Amino acid sequence: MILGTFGGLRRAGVLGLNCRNGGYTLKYNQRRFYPLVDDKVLCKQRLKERGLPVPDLIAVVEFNRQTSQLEELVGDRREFVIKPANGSGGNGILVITDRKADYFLDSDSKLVLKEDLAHHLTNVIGGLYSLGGQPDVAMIESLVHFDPLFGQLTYHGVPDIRVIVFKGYPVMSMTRLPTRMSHGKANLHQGAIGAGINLTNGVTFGGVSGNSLVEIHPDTGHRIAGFRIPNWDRIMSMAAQCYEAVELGYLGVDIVLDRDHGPLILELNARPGLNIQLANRRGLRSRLSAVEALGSRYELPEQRVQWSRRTFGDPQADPFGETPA
Amino acid sequence: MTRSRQWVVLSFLLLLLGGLLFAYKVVVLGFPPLPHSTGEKWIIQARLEIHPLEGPVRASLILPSRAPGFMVTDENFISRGFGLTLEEELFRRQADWAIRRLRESKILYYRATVIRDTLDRRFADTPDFPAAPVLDEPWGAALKDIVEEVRAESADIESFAAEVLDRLNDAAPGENIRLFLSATDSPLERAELAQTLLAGAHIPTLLIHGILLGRDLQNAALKIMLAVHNGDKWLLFDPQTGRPGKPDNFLIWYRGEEELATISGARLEDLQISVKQRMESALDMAALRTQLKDSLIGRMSVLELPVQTQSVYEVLLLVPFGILVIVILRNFVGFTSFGTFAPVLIALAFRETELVKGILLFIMIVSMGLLFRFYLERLRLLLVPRLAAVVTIVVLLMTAISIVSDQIGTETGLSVSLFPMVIISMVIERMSIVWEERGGAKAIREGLGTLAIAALAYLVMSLDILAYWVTVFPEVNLVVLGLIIALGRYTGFRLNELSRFRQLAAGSHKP
Repeated sequence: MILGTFGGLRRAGVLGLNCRNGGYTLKYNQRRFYPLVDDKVLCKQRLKERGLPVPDLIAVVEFNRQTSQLEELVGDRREFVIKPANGSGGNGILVITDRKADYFLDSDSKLVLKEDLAHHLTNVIGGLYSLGGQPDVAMIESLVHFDPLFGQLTYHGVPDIRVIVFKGYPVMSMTRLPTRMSHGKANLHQGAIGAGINLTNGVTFGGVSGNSLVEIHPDTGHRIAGFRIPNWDRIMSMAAQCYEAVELGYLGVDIVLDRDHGPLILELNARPGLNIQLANRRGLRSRLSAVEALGSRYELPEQRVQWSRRTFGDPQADPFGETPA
Repeated sequence: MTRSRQWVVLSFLLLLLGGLLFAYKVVVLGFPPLPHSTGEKWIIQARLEIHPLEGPVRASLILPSRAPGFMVTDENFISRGFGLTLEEELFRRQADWAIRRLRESKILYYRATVIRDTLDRRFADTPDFPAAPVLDEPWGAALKDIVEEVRAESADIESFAAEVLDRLNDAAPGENIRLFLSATDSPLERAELAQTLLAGAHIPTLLIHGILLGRDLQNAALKIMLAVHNGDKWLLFDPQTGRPGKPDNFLIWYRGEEELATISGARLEDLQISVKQRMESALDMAALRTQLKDSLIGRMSVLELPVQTQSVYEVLLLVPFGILVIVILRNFVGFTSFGTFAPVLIALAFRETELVKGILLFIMIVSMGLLFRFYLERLRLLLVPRLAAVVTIVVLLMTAISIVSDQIGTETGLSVSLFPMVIISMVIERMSIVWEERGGAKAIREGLGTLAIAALAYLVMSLDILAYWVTVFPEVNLVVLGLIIALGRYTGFRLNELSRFRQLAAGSHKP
């Protein structure tokens, strides 16, 4: 039984954690480039230099004494996001969506006092959420207003699009839709819904929550499959260009669609998770092997995108057996 | 060689090196591969009772030397008033007692401790070919006949000697043999007869005298064996039965035609050899052997360190085994825990507390620590002071548990002092964070995961045989390292991924 599943997963080309680490991240991601993605401040700078759009950086909080001067840092902004520069897995991210006289409201409309904010900042600076527990800095970023087109598929929070980019080729993509269960966060392990995206045309397949299929968004009641992601060409092109920006061979690119600014790169991930396979109901390995077999045939990001969209979007192979609308 | 395949070679070399060192110690140095094994040692004693005649007295006793399969570890002489000198040659050792004047009967003792040795050493020099004996008739003709008959029925020196002995021991010996046998009646004479017959075919022989080491023997008789040289090495035969080979328990004492003891100026009233068998730790004996052989590899043992350092290394050398368990549980099964190697340190503490009590103490400290930690959260302390506060609280908790348990009169709580307090504090800190971010269920599940890994690592590290191996054969850790390197290249699925991705398995969704 165990051996059967083992062989089944292997035949389906599912990528396991050991294989991702041993065969891809350790092999294609040089350690000296890691700080470029692990440190979100550095990453944002690099992407900006390359002309790739990112959410605005409001302030960087490095010292504990700064935490009590929040007004000076955020000015009169009513909404912003606090992130640990070296955080992982979405930990330590605090989203402020409104501001009253003495307090703030977070994405769940829960009350956040000024002291709470300051305490959160000191925790971030102390390294509570950083990868190795090292001292960190807190990043205050402008809040993204997601494209209203997405409104039917999200509960609070900001849905994002994850693209796995291997050697510069987009190989798989999904959108992560926040739910009430995920407290508005776009993290699958916190309860968000993942939905695979057809690379060719940017149309979603059905959704997955945990390990089960989801046809309808539990909070909005809308059908998940068949949703056409706006600006798909731009998204693919941005994702592919990240390869040149940070030189990591195996990369997760997280993109959000802003109402006013269009697609923005939220962050990059040098160790992207494997749940994207569940959301797409498809293993990653055959796609990765196909890219490896290409060698260095296409140099330009646009060429690579074209190749990927041609190769990886076959609706015939849609695991849900649905032809996108 | 490509870099991607180096790990195979490296891992293989480490496994091989560890295995070879282990095998060398077991096979050559005789270290027992299993703990608590014992082996026999024998205390042999020769007792000479002499009665003075006149003039200076001189008593010589041949001592055991170079006995294949055995080793003399210790010997002493009891002979008050006598001067003692030892003559030592490669294949012959002799003790000479001398006294100018002896008034009354005296008993001289020689006592030696003998243990088994792993080496089968040569026990005599390569001899020259003997001249054929010149015998009167009818013996000369009989000898010639026998040699010719036996030669026709044998292939080599070994089978020749066996055939001669067979004929000598035949219940109905042939006419020629009977002629010779009529003049022999003691085992010694029979062995000498065999020598004569073999010399007829120019085969070198040597008489070997020794004792059969048994349980306890008050009066062990010297046994005679016949050594036959086949041009390459010495072969032993029992002249009484014709059986080839050295009996396992046969201790060669001396070679040749001499008497065990020769006395001048006195009369040998009595000569008794006694054997006492004792059981002794096989490990101690191996250590003794190593010492006597002065083997470098044998000395590369933790057992040679000062005792206190030894006990530290007993624990340290076990850690890689615990870590191996963690590698397997994390990379093959897919366990998660608070801190990569924290479970090993907790498992080390379990060694002192025992498993069940250890787990109870751990749960007790962590849950109380968590309560304090939740309270600290409200005070909004900065990270490092908060961690410091948790460590302090953990120390106080440990002290309190020890004091309370001492007051109650159980010793269980005392061992809590061996828990790694900093590690426990980190577990508490991380657990409280997971608790707030992911909920109590997740935090408790991960805490129990940590505990489960620690318990498994403990069970492995408390295996008797491992504790024994790491001290006697520290090289087993090379094997562990080889395994860890090999496991480090395992890129297959983890067990938990089988269920995580089971819907993706080929054949489980519609084509």
